[in-house]
Formats: sequence, C-alpha cells, structure tokens
Amino acid sequence: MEEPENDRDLATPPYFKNWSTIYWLVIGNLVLIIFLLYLFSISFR
Amino acid sequence: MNYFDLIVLFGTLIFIVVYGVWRTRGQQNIDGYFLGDKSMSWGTIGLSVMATQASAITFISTPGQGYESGMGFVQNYLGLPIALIIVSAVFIPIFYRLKVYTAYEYLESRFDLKTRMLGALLFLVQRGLAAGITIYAPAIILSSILDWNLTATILVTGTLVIIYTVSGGTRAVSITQKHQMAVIMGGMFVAFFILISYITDYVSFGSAVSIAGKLEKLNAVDLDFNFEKRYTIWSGLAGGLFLALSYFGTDQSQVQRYLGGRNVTESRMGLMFNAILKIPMQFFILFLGVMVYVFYLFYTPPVHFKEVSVQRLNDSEYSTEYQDLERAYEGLMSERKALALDFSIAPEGQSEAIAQNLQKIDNESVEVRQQVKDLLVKMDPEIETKDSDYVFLTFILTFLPHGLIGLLIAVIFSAAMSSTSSELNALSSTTTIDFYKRLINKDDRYHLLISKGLTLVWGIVAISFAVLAKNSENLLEAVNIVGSIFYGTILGIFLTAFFIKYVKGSSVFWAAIIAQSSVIVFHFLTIYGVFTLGYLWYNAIGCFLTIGLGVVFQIFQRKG
Repeated sequence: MEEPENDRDLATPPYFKNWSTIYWLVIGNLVLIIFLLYLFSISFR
Repeated sequence: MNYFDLIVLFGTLIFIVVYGVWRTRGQQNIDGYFLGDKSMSWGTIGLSVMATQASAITFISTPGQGYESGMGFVQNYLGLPIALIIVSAVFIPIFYRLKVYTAYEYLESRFDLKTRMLGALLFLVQRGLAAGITIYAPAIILSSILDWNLTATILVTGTLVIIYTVSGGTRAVSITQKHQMAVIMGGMFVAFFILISYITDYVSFGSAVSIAGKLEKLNAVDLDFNFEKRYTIWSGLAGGLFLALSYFGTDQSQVQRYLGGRNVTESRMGLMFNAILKIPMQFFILFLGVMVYVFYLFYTPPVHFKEVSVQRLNDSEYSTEYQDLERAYEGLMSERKALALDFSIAPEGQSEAIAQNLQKIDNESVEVRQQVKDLLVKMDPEIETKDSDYVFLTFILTFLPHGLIGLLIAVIFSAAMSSTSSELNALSSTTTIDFYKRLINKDDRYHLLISKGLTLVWGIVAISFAVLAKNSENLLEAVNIVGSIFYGTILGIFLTAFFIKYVKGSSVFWAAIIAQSSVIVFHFLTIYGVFTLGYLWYNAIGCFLTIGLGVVFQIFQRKG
C-alpha cells in the first residue's frame, strides 16, 4: 500500500493492489446481476 | 392504527432525532457543519449515500410499481454501478485535491465564476423542487389512508428533519441515516416475511413465484430496442448511467455525503458499497410488490386502492355503475383464486392450460380496474386515478399486526426524513459556499450561523412547497422527471470540465443555457404529445448538447 502524504490522500484500498481491480470486480458483479436477472426473467415465463 | 402503533412510530422517530442532535452538539465551524470534520468511515458514507437516494417514495411507489407492472423498473438502476465507478475514479480525487465543500466550487477553478453560479443555481432549482416533493409524497398518501391532516403531516415531517439538520449539519444527517436505514431495512424484511407466511397458507413459495411469472410480473430484463419504452435494458444502462452519474457526481446532496470521508479510500469504498448493493435492494423492494400481487390472488383486493376516491364514487350519481363493476371484479377474483390454487397443484401437462386461463381472467380484472378509473374521470375529470402508490400501505394497514403497522409507518417517515435532511443540508451548503461566502466573505463562526439559518430557510421553503403542491400522476416518476430535466446539463458541464480541456468558461456557459432550454422544450413537446420520449433520455440529450455545443462555440471563438 502506498504511503499517504496525509490522512485524506490515502489512495489505495485495503486488501487489493489497486483500485482498478475493485472496479473490474464491480463491473463483473454487474454483468453477473444482469445475467441472473435475464435467467430469472426467462425461467418463470 | 392504535396507540401501540403510535408509540412505536413516534418512539422510533423521536429517538432518532434526539440521538442525532445529542451526538452532534457543539459544532464550531463550517468544516464540521458541512464536511462532518472529514471523519466519516466508508460504512457511514455508504449507508448515508443509500439513505439519501432511497426516499419515502422508494418504499411507497416501488412496491406499487412491482404490483402494477412487475420487475421491469429494476433496469433503471443498471447504469448505476458504472456511474459510481466513474465518480470514484475521476470525480473524487479532483474534489479532494481542490479541498472543496461543494461540487460547484470546482467549476470556478476550471471555468469561471458565472459557470459555477449556473451549476449551483440549476442544482438549487431542481433540488429545491425535489425537497418539497420528498416531504409531500409520503404525506399525501399517509394523510389520505390514515385520515390524518395533510398540512399537519407535512409540518411534523419537516419540523423533525429541520431540528437535527439545523443543529448538527452533515454529521447529524449521516448519523441519523444509519439508524433510519436500520429501521427501513428491518421493517421491509419483516413485512416481506409476514407476506410470504400469508401466501404459503395457500401455496408454496415456489408456486407463488411461478404464478407471478405466468402473470408476466417477473420480466426483469427487456431487450427491446424501442426508444419509446420507459424501461428497457438499454435505457437503463445508457439513460440510467447518465442519471446516476449526474446524481452522484454533481448533485450536492450526494457529493456532500462522500466529501465527509476520512480519506479518498473511505469515500470510494462507500460508493462501491452502493455499486454492489443498490440493484439487489431495488430488486427486493420490487419483488415485495410482486409478492403483494400474488398475495391478493388469495385475499380479494379492493377494485381501487384509493379509498377516498371510492367513497366519492359511492356518493355520486355513478354509484350503481361502480357497484356493478365491484361485483364483477369480486366474481373475477374468486375465479382467479380458484385457478391460482389449481395451478399450484396441477401436474406438468395441465398447468400451461390453467396458466393461460389465469392470465385471461387476470387481464379481465385489469380491464375492470381500468373501467373504475374511467368512471372516476367521468365523475371528476381532474381526479387522480393512479392508485398503485396506495397498494403497499393498504396491505400494511389491513394485514399486519399492531406494533408492526407503527414500525412500517416509521419506515416511511424515516425514509422521507433521511432524504430531506441530505437535501436541506446540501441546499444550505450550496447557498452558503457558492453564493454567500463567495460574494460576502466573513469569519468562520459567522458563516456557521448563516449556514444554520439557511438550512432553516430551505426547510421552510420545502415545507411551503409541499403544502402548496398539487397531486402528481406518479410521485416516484415526478421526482425522476424533475431530476432528468436538469441533471443532463449539469453533467454536461462537469464532463466538459473533466475531459475536454480545450473548452473554456464562456463556451460551456452558453452551451449549457441552450441545452437546458432545449430539454425543457423537449419535455413540453412530450407532454403535449408532439412526440414521445422516455424521460431518462433527457439526461443524455442535455449532457450531449452541452458538450457538443460547448466544443462548437469554442471552435468559433478561437476562429473569431
């Protein structure tokens, strides 16, 4: 984790190397949700 | 509602208000008042952002939407996670670096004073209107259904919010929102489980979901490319993205929530918390509405949920016609109940035929409901016929045990208060920082006093607007439409600021003025039926017009 210049500048998240990993996880989560919603829609037609 | 409900309701609300005031007493400066001393953790920010967005309308209208139209509304939120990623990656670092109190301060450092003022003014207009609707929406429904005085309901909600928001500022807003979210989610889960327990007296949960599917209530994804449809996956991803980007990136009532974070990481994590949980939460509330629909397959629903209108109809010359329709509806309901029960026990081969019959009877019942609405219009052409906002509350008041009724009404009030407090807090900070402090600079203590005074003034404005407001077709959509009209332009200004360095102040200013006027013209053309355009597209139009015209004006300015 990179050293913050002061408390408010801390830019890297805990447990992950960088923010882009988290953003990709969130996008993956969105794709999964859309897929599940689609499955949900067609399963009960 | 009985005394026990009232004790639960007022006990919950007064505890939240008193706790909020007590925890945040002794604010000394505007840093503490508007940014909560920059001490908030991601959990507080995440819940605060969620509670700000989820107003009482969310918990009244959304189950009604689920009941009436099924799950399609969930697509509205599909663009939200992408918007939050953009805000987190691009907006937050810039706001932090510039140490701003409001999003519009950034516009002056990037463009000029007039563009900052324009951005702040557009926010004040749209949020000032929305704050009134946020208080008015639950008040009109609660007062009608519980026979309370409308003005008194508005005054109680508004006054409770003003007390802690004036006293404790941003920190009081965030702290109370944590408790309000706990009450809201607790109440909704309890209502859901009780609802399911009633349904499972007749059919299994699996059959209930299956029946809902056959009645076309579970179509959560619509892949149709028709732009005239309000909710499709495309309007949700594109229009929803613009709406969410404007809301979370440029609306001070949200920006202020995450600017109070301890550091960039806490603010970003608060937003990612929402990026992951918001869609499941909306899904749950819509699904609750769908389950209320299934519930009413077994417990005869009223033909029209707005009892006040039904009473007027009964007292009018149309009472005989109405009673005939009511009888026809009850007949259809018994038939529908029998078919639903048959469907749940039918073997595979026969279930499809029963489902088709069920669908047919259900469509007929929808037609009878429409005929009652037509009759209402015949009686009074000005009357509000939409009754879906009354569906969930009717269920609560008719079928939940005492005590829980009080808790669920507290859910509605908590949601109204949580959104309104953020709005008042943001309206005050924008007026203080972008207008008062910018134009008349005095010492910090004086600004703190002005900020508190302006919070009070905006509270009174919101209450007055709520008292004077007229009934709107659908309250949830009214808020979204007002937002969509103004958001696109504000977002266009911000996106130009972040990504098109070439464009300068005057170009973007005049582009924004033209874009805003055009969106308002589009809206009126839609109202008067010249063409049909889903309101989510206003955001995209306002945004692209601002950016496009800004670039064109800048090119001409350079050439000139």
